Amino acid sequence: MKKLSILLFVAVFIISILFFGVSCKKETEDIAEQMVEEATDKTEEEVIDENTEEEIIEEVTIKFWKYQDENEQETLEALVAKFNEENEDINVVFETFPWEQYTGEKLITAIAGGMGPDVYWLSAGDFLKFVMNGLVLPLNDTFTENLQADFLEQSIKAVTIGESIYGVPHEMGVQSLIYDKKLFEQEGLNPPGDWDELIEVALKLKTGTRWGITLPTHPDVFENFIWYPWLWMAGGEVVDSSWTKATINESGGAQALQLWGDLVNKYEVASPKGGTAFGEDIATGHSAMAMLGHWVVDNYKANYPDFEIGVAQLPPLTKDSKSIAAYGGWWSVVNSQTEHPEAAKKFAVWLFGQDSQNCIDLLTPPGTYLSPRKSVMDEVVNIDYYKEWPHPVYIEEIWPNTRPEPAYPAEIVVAITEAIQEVLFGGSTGQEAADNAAEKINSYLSGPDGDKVRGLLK
Amino acid sequence: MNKLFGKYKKQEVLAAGFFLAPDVIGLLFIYVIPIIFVLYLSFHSWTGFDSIKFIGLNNYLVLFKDPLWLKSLRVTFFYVLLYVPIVTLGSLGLAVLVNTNLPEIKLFRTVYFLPIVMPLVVAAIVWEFIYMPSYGFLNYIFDIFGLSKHAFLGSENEALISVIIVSTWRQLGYYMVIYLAGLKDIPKMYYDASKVDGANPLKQFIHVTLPMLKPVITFVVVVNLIFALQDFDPVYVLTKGGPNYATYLQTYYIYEKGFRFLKMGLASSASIILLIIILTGSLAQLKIFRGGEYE
Repeated sequence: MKKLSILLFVAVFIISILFFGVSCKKETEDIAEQMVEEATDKTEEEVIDENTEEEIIEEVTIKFWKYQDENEQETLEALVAKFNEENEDINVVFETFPWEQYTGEKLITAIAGGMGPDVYWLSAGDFLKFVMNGLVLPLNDTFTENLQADFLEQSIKAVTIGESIYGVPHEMGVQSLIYDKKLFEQEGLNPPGDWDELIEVALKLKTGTRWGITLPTHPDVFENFIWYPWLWMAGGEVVDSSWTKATINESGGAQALQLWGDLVNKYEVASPKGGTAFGEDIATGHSAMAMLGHWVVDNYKANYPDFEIGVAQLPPLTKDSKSIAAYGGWWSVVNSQTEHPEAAKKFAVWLFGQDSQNCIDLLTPPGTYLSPRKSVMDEVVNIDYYKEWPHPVYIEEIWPNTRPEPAYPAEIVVAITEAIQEVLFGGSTGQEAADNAAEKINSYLSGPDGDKVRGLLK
Repeated sequence: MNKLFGKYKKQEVLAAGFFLAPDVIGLLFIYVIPIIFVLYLSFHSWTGFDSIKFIGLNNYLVLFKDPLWLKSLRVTFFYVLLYVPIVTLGSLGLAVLVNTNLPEIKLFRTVYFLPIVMPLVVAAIVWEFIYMPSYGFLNYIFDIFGLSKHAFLGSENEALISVIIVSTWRQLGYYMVIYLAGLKDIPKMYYDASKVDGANPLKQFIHVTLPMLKPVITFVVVVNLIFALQDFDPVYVLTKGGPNYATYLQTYYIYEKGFRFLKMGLASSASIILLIIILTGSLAQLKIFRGGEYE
């Protein structure tokens, strides 16, 4: 009985497969027959016309990837649709992925497996790693000098290595000091004017349930990004201009690290577990200040409409010295493995490198970024939305004193992160942490990878 | 082969093969081939984009000299040391509790099981609030009782145990259900007999429940050990391996070497060592707990 039922099951399975196969085959044969009939019905002239048309409109499909961001989604979908309409020979398929996935393993595994996008967004944190591994195509022939002329020099420099330009920058996330405006008014305080005042104000505003200031404490690239301007304001740099030795352990680096360590450990005014990159802890009254930037403005407007945001430039080292902020952002780049380099380059440059209206569409309504394009910024200042507080502070006061987020190889990025973690949690002094970072960076620069980086930057 | 399949008829062997084939093929492509490839890569240098170069044992030598890998090994060891007993004993305790006839016990079963079905990202938001230094829920409670405040995820000394608590909280309900199935499987006559012999509930638990549950406990301990050694998500979501590498598990080390530094060979050699640790640990446990199934 058992044997019979097994045999019966196997027989039914095989028959159904055969039946499915036969019916498919029959269907295919029918379609083929129909096509042959249709083809014979056509005149020779019609066939020639069709062939010519096919040759002209041979559509290529390219994939465009970025991280998920609901603020930009609609605008980008509309722009992709516009491009597809204008270019009958190119079909852009737009896909987005969750932030952690996109900035983590998604791009790398997809490209390594030959399934990557043709055009994708890349940021400074990963830029050198991708270029050093030959994953990005130079855009010099499409992103011409005429088009580049509309961009800020430092933004173009950030995507240029040697003679090659690898990306089209389209947004600048400018850093600033964010603070609780109402609280400052209540306490009769002004935003801090230098590092000493920063500590003083943070001490005054700290309570049992409110931190004086929030720093990013997760060991990742965002922490580095927020820390760089403090290094620059103290007169330091990570490496020398020829990329032969680390300079992070000179006085500037040690001083900037010491400040962060002191805020957490000595004065205990900064939380050892930093808040989110969107500054919720300030809006909920759990912190008085944060080192964040322009990108939080929209979050506050949408989710904390009653909260009054205060924005000021990052306090310089002393009242006589200069405030510097970093700006981050994303660039449209082309995958070097693309099968359609011309189409991919055309789209990447078209998106935010040509018509300035595309950039304006992207910046409004979110209004959390500025543009690296001069013509766009000229327009943006006239848009009512950007006349509202606090945008003018970013445009008029902070933006002129900014530097792009620097691109370093992963080994140097991690050495910097480790130094910050050491002062925040490991009990090291700024100098000790800076010396450790310098040792790691020098070991990297003196090896074959250091030669590779110097070769690229020539 | 003949000896192995001798007692079955040819058709039965064919039918078995037919039904097993999809799983075997799946396992081959999803596990066996990738493991072989990882073993191969562990002797090579590869970024994922360049050509694969043979470098012999170099990856392993680099690994043994890397202080970060050694630290990560220590962190993983402590993680397993705390995680496995907490989950094994905690879920057993919960199972015994929900196996009683208390009112609304079904509701409790559901409540205990809920964490495993809750997305970790959502759970992480809740736990971050609970652990928040200064104004988090736990510090609020500490404050009420006049205890000093803690940094939890923001402290090098407290971060690992804080992550372990989240991990165990997620897994307890799952193993509770497995234990519960084991408890339901114990024949009632053993309890009746022990009662006649004058055993109290504690003695019944020690002399009847535990021996009868030995196969289930073995399963839970082994699976827990494997899970703990492979755990990654809570660290990724809550601490990113910090602060100052305090929660830097082996899996996080492998992830960073592979995807951040593009050193696939080095990441593969660390994976192979982790595989050896898991195999050795699991086999040792199986040997220790072997036997004890009741007839």
